[in-house]
Amino acid sequence: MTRPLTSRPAVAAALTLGIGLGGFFDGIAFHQILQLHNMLSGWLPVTDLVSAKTNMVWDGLFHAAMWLITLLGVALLWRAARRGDVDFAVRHLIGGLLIGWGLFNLVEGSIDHQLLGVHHVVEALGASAWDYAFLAWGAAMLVGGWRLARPRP
Amino acid sequence: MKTATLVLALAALMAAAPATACTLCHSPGAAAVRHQLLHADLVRNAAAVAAPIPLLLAMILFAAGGPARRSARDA
Repeated sequence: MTRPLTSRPAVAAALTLGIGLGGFFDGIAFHQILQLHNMLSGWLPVTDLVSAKTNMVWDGLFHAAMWLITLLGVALLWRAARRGDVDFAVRHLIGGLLIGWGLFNLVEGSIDHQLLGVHHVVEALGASAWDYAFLAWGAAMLVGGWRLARPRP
Repeated sequence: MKTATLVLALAALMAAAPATACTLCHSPGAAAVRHQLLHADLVRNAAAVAAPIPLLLAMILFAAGGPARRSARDA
């Protein structure tokens, strides 16, 4: 008789990787390539080289935190793989990644954009519809991920 | 004339001081970055940057813990 499979460790590992990769996407795409904002550009506007480089340091610390969370995701995935009773269906991986990325957008968007105002999605506009679009994008990924990864009878 | 302009342009390029403002460099730019980083609301800025992390970690703990969700595939 085989042990019943569980999906939770796989989804939890994918969710953790999703948070880390979502953070990396934000940092790489928005902070560095498009340069729409930096970590503290709402409090410390990027007006000269010194303010740009100071923001760059805070961007780096944010990336370091996302790197550690991604590493935690790899560790959780490794642990799940060694259990022998984990259901590694593709929908659990994709669903977990989407849930994690969605959670990142919702938490980061709520705290950094809405609550603290340390930066906004398009800093040149300040608080704008883009901040809400960022949250809506996160919510859509969260719901889509949940629909994929949820247990099925 | 063209050659002289080219030589002058190259000389100007070679003489231009690089904007050394790496975080640990000894230069006026680097000192200004460190000053802005360490003396202007360091604790407040660090707290703001770190603010989402505990909540995200709590969500990971919640997802990883709790009752296992058994799949019907092999149940």
